[in-house]
Amino acid sequence: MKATTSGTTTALPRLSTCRRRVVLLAATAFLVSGAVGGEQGYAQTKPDAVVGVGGIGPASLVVERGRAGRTLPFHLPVGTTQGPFDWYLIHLDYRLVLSKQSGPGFVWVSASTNGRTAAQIEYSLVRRNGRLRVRESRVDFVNGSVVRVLPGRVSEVQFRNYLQYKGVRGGKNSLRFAVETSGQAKVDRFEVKPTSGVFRTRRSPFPLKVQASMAQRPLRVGDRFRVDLTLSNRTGEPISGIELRPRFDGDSFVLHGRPARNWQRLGRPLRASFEFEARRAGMHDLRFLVDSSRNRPSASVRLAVTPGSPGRRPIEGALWATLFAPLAAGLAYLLWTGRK
Amino acid sequence: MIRLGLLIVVVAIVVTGTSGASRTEAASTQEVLELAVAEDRFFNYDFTERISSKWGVDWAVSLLFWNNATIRRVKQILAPEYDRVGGDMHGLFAETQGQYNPNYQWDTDAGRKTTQCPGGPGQPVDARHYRVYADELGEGGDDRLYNMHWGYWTFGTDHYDIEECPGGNPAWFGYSENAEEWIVWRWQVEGFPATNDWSSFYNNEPYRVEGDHIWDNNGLASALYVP
Repeated sequence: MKATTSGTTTALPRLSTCRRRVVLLAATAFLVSGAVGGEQGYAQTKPDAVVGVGGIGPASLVVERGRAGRTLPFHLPVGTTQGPFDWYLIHLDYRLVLSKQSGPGFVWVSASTNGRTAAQIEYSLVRRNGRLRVRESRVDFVNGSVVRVLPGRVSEVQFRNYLQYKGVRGGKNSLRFAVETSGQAKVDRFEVKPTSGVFRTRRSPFPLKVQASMAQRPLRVGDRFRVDLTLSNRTGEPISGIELRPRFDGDSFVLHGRPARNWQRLGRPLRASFEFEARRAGMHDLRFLVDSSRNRPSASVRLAVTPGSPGRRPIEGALWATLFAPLAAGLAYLLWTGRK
Repeated sequence: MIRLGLLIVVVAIVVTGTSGASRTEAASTQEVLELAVAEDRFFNYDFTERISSKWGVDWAVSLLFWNNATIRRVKQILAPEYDRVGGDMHGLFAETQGQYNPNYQWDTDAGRKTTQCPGGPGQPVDARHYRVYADELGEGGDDRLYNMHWGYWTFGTDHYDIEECPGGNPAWFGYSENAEEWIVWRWQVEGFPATNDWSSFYNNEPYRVEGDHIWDNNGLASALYVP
C-alpha cells in the first residue's frame, strides 16, 4: 500500500454516528486581567497574567444536550511561542451534569488550541445494581494522573495544563471546547465557567535540568571511570525531594559506591559523581534519572568500550608467545618425524 | 506532512536477556531500545511477559496515536473493523509528569482484531490485530500519556494472526508492516489524519521467520491523529 500522509487539519468532527456524538461548545467570556491561582502546583507562584480570548459574550455558556457551539479565535503577539520564558496554559473550569437516563458509555471533555488538545477529561459510565457509577480521569503535565469516582451525576472540574508547543503561535489562534459521548452516555448540561481560558505564566514546566559529562578518554573493559552530573534550577522556583539515580545494563557496567543521591531542596546547582567499571565491550548508554517535586529530567552518556585494558595486552601477548611457541615447535617436530 | 516537534531520542540499549517461559511463543530481537520524547519514555517492543527482555518480545512498536488519544478512544475509532478481543501482551513506559507515577510502568492490553478465530470454520484465514498501551487503568492510571509535543498519546503494535484457531494448522503470526498500513487506512477511512511510516522507532525487522513469528517491520512507525 502506498504510503500516505494527511495534514493536521482540525476540521470540526462529524456529528452523530450511532457510536459518537460531538457537541461543540463556545467558550465563555474571559477575564482580561486579574490573578488566577490556587490550583495545585500554582499556589505559590506570582499571579499569572491572563491572555484574554474575546468576543464570545458575557457569563458562562450553558450548552444543553445536542446543541452545537463554535470555535473561538484569539490573538497572540507576533513571535509568541510556547516557552522558553513565557508559557501558556489552558484553564478549563466547568460543570458537567450527566443524564439520569445514561447507560454504559463514555464522555470526553476536551479543550484544544489550534487543533492541539491540551485538556482532556474522560468519564466512564457503568450501571451497577441500577445505579449509575461514574469514574472521572484526567491527566495534566503538572499533577499527572488524577482519578476519582463521582458521588453522583455532577462533575465540577478545575483543570490546568500546559498547551502543546504547536498549540501556541503568534497571530491568530483558535480555542475550542468540546464534549463527546459514546455508547449510552448522555450529557444533560455542560457549563464552561468564566474563569476558563488561555493563560500565560513564567512558571516553567521544566525548572529542573540535569547535565552529564565525563572526561573523554578511550575506555576498555576493566577500566574505571567517573561521570559527573550537574543539577540546576532554571527558574528559581522551589524544587524539593530530589533524587538522582543511574540506570544501566548490569552486564555492561558495575557501579562503585552509593546507588543514588538525595537532596531535600535545590538552590544553587548541585553536583554529584558516579564511578563505574566497564565490563563488556561495545557501544553502551548510561542514563541518569532525576526525580523531584516538579519535573523528572534525565541525561545520558554514550560510551564506546573496547576489549582488554591498557598495558595488559602486550604483556599477555608476550606471555602466550613464550608458553606456546616452543610447544608448537615441538609438536610440529613430532608430527614430522612420525611421518617418516 | 505532520510536524509534531518530535524529539525522539534513543536513550538506552538492551535489557539483559532472560529467556523465561511464556504463555505464547516469545520472539527475540537484536536489541530493545528505550525511546524518549521530552520526559516520556517507552520501549520500542512489547513483551510476552512483564519482563523487559530482548528474548521475550512480541512485536515492534509501530503505532503512535497522538493529540487527543486515550486507549478507549482509539479502540472506539477502529471499532468498525477491529471489534474482537485478542490475547494479552505488555508494554513498558515511563510517564514522568506529575508526582504520582513511578518511573517505569507496565500496561497490559489484549488489543482488538478483525476476526476472533481466523482459520476457524467459516472464518477468514487471517485477522489483523493491534494492541495499544498507556497508563494502566486498573492501577490508578488513566489510559493515556501527555507531553507537550504529542499531546495526549498512546503507542501500539500490530500484526496478522493467520490460521490461529484450532482447525488451522499451522498458526502463524506476523507481517506487521502490512497490518500497520491497513490500520492507517482504516483511520483515514474514519476521517482522521494519519501518516504512514512517519518516523523511525529504531526497530527495523527485515523479513525472517522465527518459530511461528514472521518478522516484517521497516522500523518506521505511523502517526495517527486523534481529534
